[in-house]
Amino acid sequence: MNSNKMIIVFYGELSTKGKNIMDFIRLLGKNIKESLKDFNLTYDIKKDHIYIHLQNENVTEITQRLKKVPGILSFSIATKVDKDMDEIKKEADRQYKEISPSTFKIDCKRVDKEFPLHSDDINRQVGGHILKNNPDSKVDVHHPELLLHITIREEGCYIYGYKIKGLGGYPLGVQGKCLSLLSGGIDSPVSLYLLMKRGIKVEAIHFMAPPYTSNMVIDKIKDLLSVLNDYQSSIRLYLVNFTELEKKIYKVAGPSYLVTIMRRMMMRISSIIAKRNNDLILATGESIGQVASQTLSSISVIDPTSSLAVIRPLATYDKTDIISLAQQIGTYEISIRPYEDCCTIFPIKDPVTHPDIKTVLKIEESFPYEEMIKQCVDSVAVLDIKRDEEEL
Amino acid sequence: MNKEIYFDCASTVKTEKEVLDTFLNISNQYYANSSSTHRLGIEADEILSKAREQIARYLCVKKDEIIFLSSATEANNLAIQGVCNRNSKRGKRIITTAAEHPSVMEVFKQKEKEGFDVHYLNYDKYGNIDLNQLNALLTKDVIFVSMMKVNNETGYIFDTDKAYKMVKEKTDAFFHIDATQAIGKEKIDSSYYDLLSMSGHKIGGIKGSGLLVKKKDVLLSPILFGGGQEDGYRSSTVSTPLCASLATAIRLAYSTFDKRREKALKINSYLRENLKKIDEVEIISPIDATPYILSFALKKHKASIISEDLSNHNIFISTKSACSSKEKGYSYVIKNAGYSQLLAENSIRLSFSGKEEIEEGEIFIQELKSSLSRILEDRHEQ
Repeated sequence: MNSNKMIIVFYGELSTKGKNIMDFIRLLGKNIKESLKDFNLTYDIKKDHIYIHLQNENVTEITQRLKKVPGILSFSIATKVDKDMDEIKKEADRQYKEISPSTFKIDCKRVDKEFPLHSDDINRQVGGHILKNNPDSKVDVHHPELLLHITIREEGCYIYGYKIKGLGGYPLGVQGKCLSLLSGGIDSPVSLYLLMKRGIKVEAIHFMAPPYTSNMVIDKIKDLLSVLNDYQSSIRLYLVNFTELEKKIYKVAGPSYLVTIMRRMMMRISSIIAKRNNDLILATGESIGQVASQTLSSISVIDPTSSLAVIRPLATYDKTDIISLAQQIGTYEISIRPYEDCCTIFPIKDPVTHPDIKTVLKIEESFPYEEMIKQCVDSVAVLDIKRDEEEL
Repeated sequence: MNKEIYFDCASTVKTEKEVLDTFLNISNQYYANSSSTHRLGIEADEILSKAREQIARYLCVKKDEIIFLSSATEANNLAIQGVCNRNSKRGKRIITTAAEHPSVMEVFKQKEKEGFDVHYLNYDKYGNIDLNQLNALLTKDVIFVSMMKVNNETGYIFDTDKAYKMVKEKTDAFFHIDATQAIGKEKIDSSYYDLLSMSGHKIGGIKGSGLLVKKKDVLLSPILFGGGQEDGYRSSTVSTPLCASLATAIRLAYSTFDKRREKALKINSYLRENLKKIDEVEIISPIDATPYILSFALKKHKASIISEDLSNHNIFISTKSACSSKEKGYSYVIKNAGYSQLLAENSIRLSFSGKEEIEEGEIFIQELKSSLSRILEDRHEQ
């Protein structure tokens, strides 16, 4: 029976912001509602917290979803009881027993000033009740393991203590929109997750090279984005047919400079598409030093071709940590499906780790890449990967 | 003339409007070949993917376990021939029941000609498959067992879950169920089969749509060769609009499951009660058969003539009884259950969709009685 339950959502870094706080909170409220739209719930969006009234809905499922909403620091499941000291003591004791902390403290807030007892009295009575019924219990007024809140409001008394850790970060969208390169490997989906967590709405761009790359890679990309739909409910995917351009680059650049030139072209194409779609920056899943194109030298030769700033959320992560995160968010198993992406279809021998800019420019001058880039941009396919899509 | 009373839903039903809408919309919006690598092809493939995922959700299977094809007949052919051809080196024994639809029966007969060791399981009037017979046949040589979930002529519900467990305990055979009459009508547990056939038009889908569920570890050879669509299992350009419409049909069937079942139970019960009161009627469907099918036989009249007469009064039912004196049509399912040749030749099947009102049942009983009293009795023994 959940009709006496309520979830209280606590914000993270929002709390420190000044005049934009209501925008933040409203956006967080909107995102929470979107995430929980198939449940029958009512919401109170206040300046300090968001209250979600559960009305018989499934707490477990709702908890799982809330853990994936960016911008939530933590949340608690509060139980509402009648404003009767016996009921209050009983519920407080029940919650204590559920957690069994080593130390606890009661913190009472009396919003309903009509209630006969003072906060101190309530603290003492409830604290005393718990001490009496739990022989190993101990009070710690400075650093209790469990801080049990009792809030006496007009409609009833809310008791909550255990804080469930949220995702942290900012509400999705509050930081703007970015276009992120998505290869389908282990790294790029994790990069998208980190961006979403930080409040950036992400659009994804994937370079394919059919028939050298198969449709299975596209399925893989869609499946990865479906996993990420838990964090961002609708993700736009741009698919670029890179085959002709990549073949030409291979011919003129040779195996050593292939990747460097390819990455420069990808940056140019991504910039154009990003600008057209009001994305503020580009992002990639690169990690410094992981492969030849990801050395600082390579990055400094590749980045200038982007007309937008480029950020790399995984720049300083070790591979093992990236893999851990990928497993945690559920993209790892999908990423390791053995379908080649466009970066591995031609044999790359001794890829250059410190590309020479003069060589790069000479290669690019030798073929009409602007025309080919335009073709790529004009024939881009756009898909929206959504959670809870309308059925056929 | 009465309003139309259509009691032949096991044969087919009218295509649902929503299904046709999906077909039309998708045909207009996503007309490219889903195998094409250009943008339009990818977008069409996206719809195909969505249809597959949606169907997989309702059937409780994985999306890559679905092979789209044209009909349950094609699905049955692919399942039986595909497994036999691919696994014949492992063993030669294949088993099915003596009650199967021709699209299973005829394939097994063909396999028999090709040298497979074919066995047909017996069953009784109550729809109980002889599981002792099955048990005795389960040797390491068995590679394939096929059992329909609901019999189309009598409505028998075969205990396929139990049979599955028996087969898996003693052999490595693949277990197939023809679920044509069961989808949307009976609960099907996806843990108790390796292969499942279904047809779209039985549940209001477009005629020409169907699918085969093939679980991941089933070894199957295709029977159509060509462009390698459906993961190589069914070459042919996949019809995106048709598959999307099948997804709609399945969604509608599953979301109205309880509501329809309630109505089917009501009309079935009413008809059974009132048919029992007619002297020459012998009810064939057991009480625990699917509520969607009610089969009975006429002891004194020729079923084909009664059927014709009812049709002239706008009432549509099904019978295996033939009008020609040259060909004695009869139901082998009813015969094999242990009924007399006479009853097998004069059986009538009523079948429902779950949208029927009791008034239709009332009119049917009236008209049947009227027909039986009007039409001359056939000169055959009791």
